[in-house]
Amino acid sequence: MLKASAKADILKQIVDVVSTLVDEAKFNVDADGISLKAVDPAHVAMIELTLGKGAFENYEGEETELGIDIEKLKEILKLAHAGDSVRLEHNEDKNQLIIKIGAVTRRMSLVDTAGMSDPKVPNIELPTTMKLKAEELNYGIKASESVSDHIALVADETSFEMSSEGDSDSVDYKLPKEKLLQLEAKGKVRSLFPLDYFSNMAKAISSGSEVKLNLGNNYPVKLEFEIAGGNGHVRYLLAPRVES
Amino acid sequence: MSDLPWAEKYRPIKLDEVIGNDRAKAALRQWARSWSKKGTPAQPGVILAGPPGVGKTTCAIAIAKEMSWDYIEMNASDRRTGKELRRIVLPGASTNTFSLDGNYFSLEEGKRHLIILDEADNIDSRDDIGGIAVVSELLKTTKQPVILIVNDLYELTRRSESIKKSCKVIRFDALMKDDIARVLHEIGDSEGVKISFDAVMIMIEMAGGDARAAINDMQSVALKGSITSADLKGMSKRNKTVDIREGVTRLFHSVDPKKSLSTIRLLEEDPGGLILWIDENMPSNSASIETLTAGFESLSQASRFIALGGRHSYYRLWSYANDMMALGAIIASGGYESGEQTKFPLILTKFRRRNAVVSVRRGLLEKISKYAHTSPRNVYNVMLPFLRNAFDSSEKFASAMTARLNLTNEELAALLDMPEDSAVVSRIYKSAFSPRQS
Repeated sequence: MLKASAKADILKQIVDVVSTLVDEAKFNVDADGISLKAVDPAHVAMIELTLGKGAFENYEGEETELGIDIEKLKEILKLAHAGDSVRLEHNEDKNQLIIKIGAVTRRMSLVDTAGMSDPKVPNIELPTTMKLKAEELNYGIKASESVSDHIALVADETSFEMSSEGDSDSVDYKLPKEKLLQLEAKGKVRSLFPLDYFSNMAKAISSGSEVKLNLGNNYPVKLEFEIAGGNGHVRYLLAPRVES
Repeated sequence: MSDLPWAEKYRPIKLDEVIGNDRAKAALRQWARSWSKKGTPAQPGVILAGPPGVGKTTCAIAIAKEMSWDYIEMNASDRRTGKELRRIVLPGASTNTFSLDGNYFSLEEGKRHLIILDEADNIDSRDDIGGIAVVSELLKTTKQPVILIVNDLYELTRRSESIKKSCKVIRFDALMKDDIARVLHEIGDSEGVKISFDAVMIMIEMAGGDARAAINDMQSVALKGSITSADLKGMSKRNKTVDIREGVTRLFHSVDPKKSLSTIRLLEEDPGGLILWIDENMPSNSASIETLTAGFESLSQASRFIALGGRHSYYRLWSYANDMMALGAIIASGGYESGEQTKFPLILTKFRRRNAVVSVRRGLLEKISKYAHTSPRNVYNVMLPFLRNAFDSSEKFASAMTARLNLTNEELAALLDMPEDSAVVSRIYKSAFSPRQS
């Protein structure tokens, strides 16, 4: 069961964060809020999202699963203006999500969740931790985009560096420790990632936010940030490229 | 769970549980083990070729489990445009991955990610433009194992030389009757369905070596808990088409004209097409010059019946043509089994290639003519040579124009007069339509 309403901006933010990786997703609803875990269709990245009921204007939920076509929901939310309230209600008999925006009532059929996986959070230890502004991350990505399809993330005790190497060009964007909000490292680590994934993930972080970034050596990267005014939490994991 | 199709419910998990095709299974296992060493083997891909319902997909998934690999499978029910393939298949081919249950699979630890493309021979039909180019790119760049599954190997390999080069081909045969019978009885026992011996034989006959078809048939009549041959009366013989290659091989191996005729009936090929196949393959299947001559005698009779039947719309003559073809094949082979692979008729290849080229070129000319406000003929006679020259001398110009004219991969290749999967074509195409450029 779900009966809730939330500001359109917050729902749009959630949809953006999820649609970066998957087209369809299973949302787990309970009394405390909504959560989601999913692996992208190429099996290269994962998302974990938790959304406390504080993210909603009002919220009533009992344990259930909602299979949602994210692209469809994205389209529906375009009907809403920035400050609008959006009401969500699960019709269990018809397996529909009823979405009310102003005078619009949109009934959206839900997707069967039977085929959708329930990933656990993989057991990964990432030795290097840092915090930085989303803008810094996106700036480094922008610098790499004209150079290569990959981006290397390198960190040691003194700095964090994003770099790309193309056939003829290369670029480095180096952030010394002072420019970061936090940096904890023991020794140097480096991993290479597909730039399009990393860039899409970083773009889903709203500007002004802080990002926590965990890194290892030829190991996945973890991006963590808050959404919905601190009432929601997102974790992205991205697998590294194999360097031959 | 009980409403699952039985063919799914009883799909074997382990490779050794899959019935039949022992040699194919061994070859698949050997290929998979070539991935156990570090790095990428010379043949990163394997093509599993064979008729439907014999366990190709089951084996592909089973080998992934046996090797403890993560896997993704894309089949014809997924959208498989070039764009979708690029999005879903390519990324994991060069990265480590996460399995659906949330485990991290790292190549450094030998944990690989298998990419399975089911019905790969259907990828490049009309709406899948560019799909084949992506598959060939996948095989060139992949660091992960790839399995392509096809019914018709030729449909796939005629489109791309490079796919064939980077793949090992493993053939699967139709299943033996005994094997299918065993499976039907096992499922019958588990489901508590009594099934008479005759009924099993009828279902197997209808399925023609396709285990999935036999199981589906059985499930569809099993509602009342027992199956006898009487229950099957209403079921028509499955319209199972024998692969033309397999059929022609059978015709040359046959010694019984009656059996040959029933083989011909199962082929979805009109006599005009079939005769080209027999013509192409008769020399390599004949026992001696004498039998070959006699065989071609029959074939020329068949040819006359076909022509007469067609000209006068008197198609009953075609059945005589079938008789003569069946006979011709038997006479020519004279009991000799060449073991040579049945070849595709050269004349059809030439026609097909020509038709494909003509239709792509027509599309290209139309697009340019609209853009340049002139006739397609004028484009062909006057503009095309210059345009090709301009494309050759500047890739930047080429990609900008490709985007502006919204050319397909094939049309771009035709304009440049280069193969569809050549590096230049894919580079220009990619840069024309990569979102970052726009």
